[in-house]
Amino acid sequence: MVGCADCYETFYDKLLPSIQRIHGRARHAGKTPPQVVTAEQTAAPQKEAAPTKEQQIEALQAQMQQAIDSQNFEQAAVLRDNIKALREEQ
Amino acid sequence: MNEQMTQSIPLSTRIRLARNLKEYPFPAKLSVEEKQLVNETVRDALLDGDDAKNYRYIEMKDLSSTEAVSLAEKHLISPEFASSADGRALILSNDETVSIMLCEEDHVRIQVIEPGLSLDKAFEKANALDEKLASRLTVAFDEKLGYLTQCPTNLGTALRASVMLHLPALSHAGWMPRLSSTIAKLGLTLRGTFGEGSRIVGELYQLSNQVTLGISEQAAIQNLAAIARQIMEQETAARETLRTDNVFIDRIYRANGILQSAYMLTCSECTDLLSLVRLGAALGILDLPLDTLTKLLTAIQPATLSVAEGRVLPAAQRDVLRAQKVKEALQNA
Repeated sequence: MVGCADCYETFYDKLLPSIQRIHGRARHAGKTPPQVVTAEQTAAPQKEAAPTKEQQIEALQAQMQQAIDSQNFEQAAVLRDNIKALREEQ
Repeated sequence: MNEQMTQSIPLSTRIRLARNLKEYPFPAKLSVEEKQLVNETVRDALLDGDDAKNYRYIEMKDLSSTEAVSLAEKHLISPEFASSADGRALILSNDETVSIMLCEEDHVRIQVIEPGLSLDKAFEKANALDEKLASRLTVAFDEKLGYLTQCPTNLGTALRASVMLHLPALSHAGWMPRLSSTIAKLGLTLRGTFGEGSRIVGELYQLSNQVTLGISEQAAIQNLAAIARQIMEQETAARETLRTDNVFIDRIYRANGILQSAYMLTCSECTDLLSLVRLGAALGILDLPLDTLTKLLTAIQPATLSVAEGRVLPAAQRDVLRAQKVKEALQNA
């Protein structure tokens, strides 16, 4: 029995002989876990088509509001300028 | 080769994947509170959308010991998991084909049961749950050693695939010891239906893979399916020779007679008789549906009988109830 996942790294050399005895091999040949998808990535629109200007502006506005709420005014100012630039392009 | 008979030999297929969350020590090193935190983290990662409706989250401390043992009798949890409730939880699908043990030996043990020999389908279902888990939580994994598990025997794929086989003819012919040792040389194991160290009852055997490191999931499954298939063909051939064995045929009819008329049946006697009657049905000697007999093998287990009755019964009362249930099931079949 091993205490935690890190033990396998720390005690790799010590554990290797018994692992080899159990399995006859010591190199994983199966699947690897997929990348962890964070909540923000799941929330982001998964559409193939690029977001419209309107959607980009909406997203930036939401981010700006979050920045204001967390009193991160520098970031809010950058976002405000980005929104302004997008509006002018329309 | 009689394909229908061959298909009657495997009762069920199980796939089990062991996983651990990277950021927590393995369960043996966790307090009850920490285990609960792990359990709830896994629950929240897995049970959303439709899955929230299709599964139940059960804290093992909320079950009586009889209810827990009944889950083990149905092979939904391990006997070890049923033996202690502290810090353990179970995610169970409503149709009881998927069970996820939380904080058993590993943080997460995903298990899928399918009837008959159905390794690919069972693996697909377990794999889909595993992909969902690993896309939301960081799973303990190492490039060289694969999925990291508390016990080094599960490293690599951490996949245990098993097929439950009914082998009365090979047992009767005295082939089992030799078959078991041959199978051990192939990196597989043949043992009792309740896993390591369990007694063989009703000539039911569990064939599982042993090696998990250095072999892919697909290769392990194909290997197991090929060996299962060979054993099934040997059992079919052995059953054919029993057709002319009058003494054995007589045992089958007598077993059916006892099951349909006894007033009391102990679990082990009942299992042995059901095994003979199931063989009789597969041979076409008895006109009984195999499915009914397979289900009875679980329904007659002590804790499952008590749960169905809604109260804990003393052994003698259970034996009366068991005999009644079996009689009814066979006469209505």
